[in-house]
Amino acid sequence: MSPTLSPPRWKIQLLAFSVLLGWSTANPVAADDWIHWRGPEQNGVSLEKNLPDSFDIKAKAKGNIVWSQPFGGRSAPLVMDGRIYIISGAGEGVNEGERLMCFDEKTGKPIWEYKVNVFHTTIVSSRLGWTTLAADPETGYVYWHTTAGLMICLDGKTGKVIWEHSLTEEFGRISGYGGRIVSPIFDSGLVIVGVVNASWGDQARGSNRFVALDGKTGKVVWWGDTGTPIKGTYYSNPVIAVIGGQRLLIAGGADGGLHAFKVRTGELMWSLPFGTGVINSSPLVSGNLVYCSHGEENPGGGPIGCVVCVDASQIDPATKMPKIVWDYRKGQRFGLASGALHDGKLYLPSDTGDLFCFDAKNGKVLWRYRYGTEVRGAPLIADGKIYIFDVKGTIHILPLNGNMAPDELEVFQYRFRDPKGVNETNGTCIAVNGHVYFTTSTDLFCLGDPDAKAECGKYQGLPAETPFKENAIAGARLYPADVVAKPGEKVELEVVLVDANGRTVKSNLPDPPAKWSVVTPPVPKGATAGPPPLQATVEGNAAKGTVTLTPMPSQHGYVEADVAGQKARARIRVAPNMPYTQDFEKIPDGAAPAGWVNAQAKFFVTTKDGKKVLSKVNTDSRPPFSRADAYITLPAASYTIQCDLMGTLERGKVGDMGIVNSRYTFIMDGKKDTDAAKREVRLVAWEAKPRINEAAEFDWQPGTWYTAKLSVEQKEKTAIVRAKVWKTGDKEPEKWNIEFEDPNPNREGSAAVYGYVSNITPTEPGSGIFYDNVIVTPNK
Amino acid sequence: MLHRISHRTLIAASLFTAIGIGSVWALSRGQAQPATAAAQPKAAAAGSSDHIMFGGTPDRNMVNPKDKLAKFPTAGPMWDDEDDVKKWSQEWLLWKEDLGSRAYGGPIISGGKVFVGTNNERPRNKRDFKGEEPVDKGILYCFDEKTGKLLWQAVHDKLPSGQVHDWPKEGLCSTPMVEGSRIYYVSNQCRVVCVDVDGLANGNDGMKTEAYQMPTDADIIWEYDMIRELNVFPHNMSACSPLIIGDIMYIVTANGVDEGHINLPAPEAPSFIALDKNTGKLLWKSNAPGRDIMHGQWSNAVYADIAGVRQVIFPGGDGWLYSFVPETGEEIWKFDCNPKDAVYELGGTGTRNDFIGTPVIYDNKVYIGVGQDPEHTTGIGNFWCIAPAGKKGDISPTLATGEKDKDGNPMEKPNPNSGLAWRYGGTESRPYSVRDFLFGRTMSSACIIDDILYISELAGYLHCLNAKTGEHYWQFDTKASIWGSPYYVDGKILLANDQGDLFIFKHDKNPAKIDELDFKAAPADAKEARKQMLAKRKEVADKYLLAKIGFDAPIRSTPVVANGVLYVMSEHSLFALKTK
Repeated sequence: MSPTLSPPRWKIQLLAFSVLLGWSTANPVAADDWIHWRGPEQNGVSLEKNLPDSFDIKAKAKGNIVWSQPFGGRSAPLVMDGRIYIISGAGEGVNEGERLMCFDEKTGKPIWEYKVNVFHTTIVSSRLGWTTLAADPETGYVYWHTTAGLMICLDGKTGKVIWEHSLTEEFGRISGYGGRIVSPIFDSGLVIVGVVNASWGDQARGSNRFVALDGKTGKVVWWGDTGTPIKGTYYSNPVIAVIGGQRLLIAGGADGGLHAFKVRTGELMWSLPFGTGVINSSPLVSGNLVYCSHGEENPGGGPIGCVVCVDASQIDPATKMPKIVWDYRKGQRFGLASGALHDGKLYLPSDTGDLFCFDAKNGKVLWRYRYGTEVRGAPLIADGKIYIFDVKGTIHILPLNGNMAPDELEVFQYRFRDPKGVNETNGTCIAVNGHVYFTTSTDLFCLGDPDAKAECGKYQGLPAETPFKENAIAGARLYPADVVAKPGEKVELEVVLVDANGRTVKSNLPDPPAKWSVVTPPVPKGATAGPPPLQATVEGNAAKGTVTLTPMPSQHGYVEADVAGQKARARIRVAPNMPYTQDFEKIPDGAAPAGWVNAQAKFFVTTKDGKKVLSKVNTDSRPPFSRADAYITLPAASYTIQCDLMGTLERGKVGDMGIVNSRYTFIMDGKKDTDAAKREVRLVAWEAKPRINEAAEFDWQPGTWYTAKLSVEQKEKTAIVRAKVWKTGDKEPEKWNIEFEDPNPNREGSAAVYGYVSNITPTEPGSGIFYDNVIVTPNK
Repeated sequence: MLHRISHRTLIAASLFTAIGIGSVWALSRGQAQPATAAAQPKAAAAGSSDHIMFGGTPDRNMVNPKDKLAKFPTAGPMWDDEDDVKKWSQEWLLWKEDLGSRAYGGPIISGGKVFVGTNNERPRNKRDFKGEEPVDKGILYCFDEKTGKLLWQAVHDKLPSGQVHDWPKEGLCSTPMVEGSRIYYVSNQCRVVCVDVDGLANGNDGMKTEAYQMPTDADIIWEYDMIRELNVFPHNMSACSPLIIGDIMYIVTANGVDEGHINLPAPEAPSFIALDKNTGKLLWKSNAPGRDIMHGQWSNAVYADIAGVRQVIFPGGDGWLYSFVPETGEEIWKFDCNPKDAVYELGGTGTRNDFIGTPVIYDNKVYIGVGQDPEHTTGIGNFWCIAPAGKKGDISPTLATGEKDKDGNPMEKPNPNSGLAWRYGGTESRPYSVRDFLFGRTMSSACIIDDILYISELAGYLHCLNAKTGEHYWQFDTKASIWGSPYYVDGKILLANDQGDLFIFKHDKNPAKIDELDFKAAPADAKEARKQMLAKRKEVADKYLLAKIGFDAPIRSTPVVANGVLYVMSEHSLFALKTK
């Protein structure tokens, strides 16, 4: 960490103190930062004055161009403490990845950058950098949810990594279809991010969950679950609101609902199931009213698309649904972009490129203005103007015109070009410190009138929460709420008693009764026996507990504390340590190996030819089931994975099967161009691009067991990835089938097995894939 | 124009006598030909102006030579004002029927019935609800042509793989083809389906194992499951509109990549197939594009008799057109519709495209514009006019040399065997242009009349070109995405867009050349340029735009006129409107 911290250390300590106590401080509303992508009031409004209504790039400063930098993006920049941050794709070919960059806000001078690789995702180059950043102005930390599912906390001043999680490998995050991943949000000391995930135990079922990580340490504080079946992956970015004295995180979900969670505990407070597909647009809040929209079908049928306004202070106690104030369902889709809320008007782009202006009170359409045919970015309302992009490289600056549509002749419109092709503008403008900032796919711009005086209105903070009272215990949580431990390790869990708002409270009992236990998991539907409980002992008091794990190499389960009648649980996973071998002999048929991530419901142990093997599920054609990685270890470096594999022929087809090491996948490709053609093996990384796709002929046959080996050796600047495969039982060949030196190496990653069955029909299973004798060993 | 139309009239008249012995159909406005031993395509019943297949005829040219459009509304009603809607409806509406929430299939008008493909968001059968919520299905409605009354519906379950193979809520996207008492289409489940146009009312003919057999359900004669039988891996949706010539039906299978968008799970599966229309038996198959399929395959086959060579032409997922001998599947010629240095990329920046629009045959030439999945947005495109007469093999404009230039782009050389007549497309770099290219990706098929060609593109533009030379006359920005095609009837061009606007343009045999970037004097600044450009646009509108009729939902289909009725299919309603 940098020795000079700004803001001063006492402020951070105060904040830490206040988070610990859960003081109901209203959000600090600084006018000189732009942290939430929709601005200080999270509503798409900037109160800056004297902003330019046009610009001329050639005229530079005189043309209102303060500075520009040749680095683009597709989301909204973040401004904090005199610095501006953007994310984007970077590099070409094998060197392509995703990059976070920090610039000096005044001069545009680049200060630092941090680049990561892309892996285990179906998202392609053109959709990299779609999330927006979050930050904590107190610590100066910046939070980034990368396309590959890394959740990274960096020091905003230096770019140094403070902590990092791999949501995909640790928690089974499912990669977004077509680039749909969600931006994190920072509040109350927590960085909270929505994911669609499936991992183990109570999270084996794929669901839209939110995970709250401690902003300083990255430890899991809580998991929240939308609870109803998902329709896909989504990108509705959350907002924080205080309604009825309760501090809420409000977001659209992958289940087609609008949801509100308690910010500090993740408790689901209310839901409005209002779409039959995923919700991508972000909610807007004004007082007790919450607005959201979608471009999908509605639950009751009828025309497509919906804009809804609910009163979140009126929750039906039976259905836990907020009261609908108005909705607009007239066959217009509002599912790609988000809106802005200003002065009693809701500005919302339709998917077909019409900017709608609704009377926010009653949903009456005041006007429509057609500005494009494709939309992603949201409108920014500032200084009597609307700044908005259409996707095809054009910014539109529309002067507000009361209750009337903007005058077409008064509109400024400018199209950005890219000498290499089409310049896309998927982002959203921000306005702070007298300037307007935005990215095109090629550049970062700072606009400002050189003659204007910087002037800004006063932003409103969130309403006050219910006053805090000690001893108003309403619940408890364990911290951390989700832990990965080593075999035999002692895990410390802290009891946090909370009030109705999730704020930390103290019990006034001198010694509250405390009971700690290892939870016996419930018997799953249709099964005769449930999974075994965690092999561990636990003891503790009202403040904390200690879980002592047995040396069992790979397991998972739950620990519960009952303190003063309040129950709280923590999830504990013992991830396999290297060296690790698994022959599946001790696992009952139908079960998945414990301690693995994303194995349950996708893989199961079965008895084949008298021995226990792991089998890929081949009866469910939905993407997370037909194709899956089962992650075995935590991300690690410099190791080798070996596994026996066998594929079977079903209706003329064989599946793809393989093993994963450090985010490289070695695939035994089941496809053939013709019946006479030979099969191949392939080494891939970021397969959707693909960044690496090295093939070698190896005419493997269905019904035969093969042993595959994938080894990654980390060098100073590169990694050498080696893969080989041979008939099981034969002598291991000396030669590797594929050897690849990666100049842009994946430095670590979980060991995993991979399977993909593409020929499952509604009535018939697809090809079979079987695994045996998994061995993961550190390199010598 | 007159003599050409009279040709069609003549042909229709000759059909009247030819019915029952195998109809003849003169193709491409060429001379009427005597029926030969080889199978010939069929046409609508004599005396009617039924619209029986995508494009109306096997040449897929969106031209209706028969009907009149004497009267039409010049604007839609205020849809939020009930009284205004009532008044407008009384003046113009014959009937209106609810569809689901998306509707891309049809409309097809044949034998007193109207067929449309949609989804199940407004279920007609209580069975197809789960509680209050409609169950997602692919639906084909059969309405009575006179009243709009629902006669029966085909209900197809969704594939469990969802977005991968059968995108939720997209409904039934194939535009069916009717021949006699049978209607053919590709269901959302990637099955070729043959259905009795009379439903179950006349008993259950053909296969008896239909999943749904209530009186309002469809009477399926046979089904051919391309996933089960051919290992086809449809990308997102199967949408082909069948083509039938004689006893053979031609289908593009939808085979494509998986949700990772790189891996093609079934390179061995065919892209083009020929089935016996009576039995659904496979006659021949071709996987010509093989591993070069970029994304999916949603276009349709076209039939042509070009200088005596009968052929079916398939648009491939590799951006090539393939021509085959109709009976055997033997390749005649192929044509690459992308420059050799074009690059396929997901999103708007890629320059290599495949096809959504369907090839059109006119005057012994093949016309097609390239495009992509609308989710990939617009981007640079090309419109091609190909003259394959007398040619075989690779008739692309250029051949790859196999070498690369200093930037690593593939080099090309002229092809001595080129079948290119002309191309419209390429970059637009003149100052103040609103975009970087002349012609964007299209989902539309061309409409060619009097040697004038109309083609729309995804980004909302309608272009008017000379079909013989490729000279560009004018363009019009409808300002919303276009999924349907321009359609000619009675001296007018109809075109609808995603905004729910139906545009009616005046067809002109000698169109004016109006170029919005052809400034009289160099504009002082962008604002001035914009003003001049808007004035040019107004000139086009004043000269050619007859009506802009706002409907209450996006229109993602082609408006058609049949038997004196204008059909407009919005995403959730089918309107039958008066034309006189």
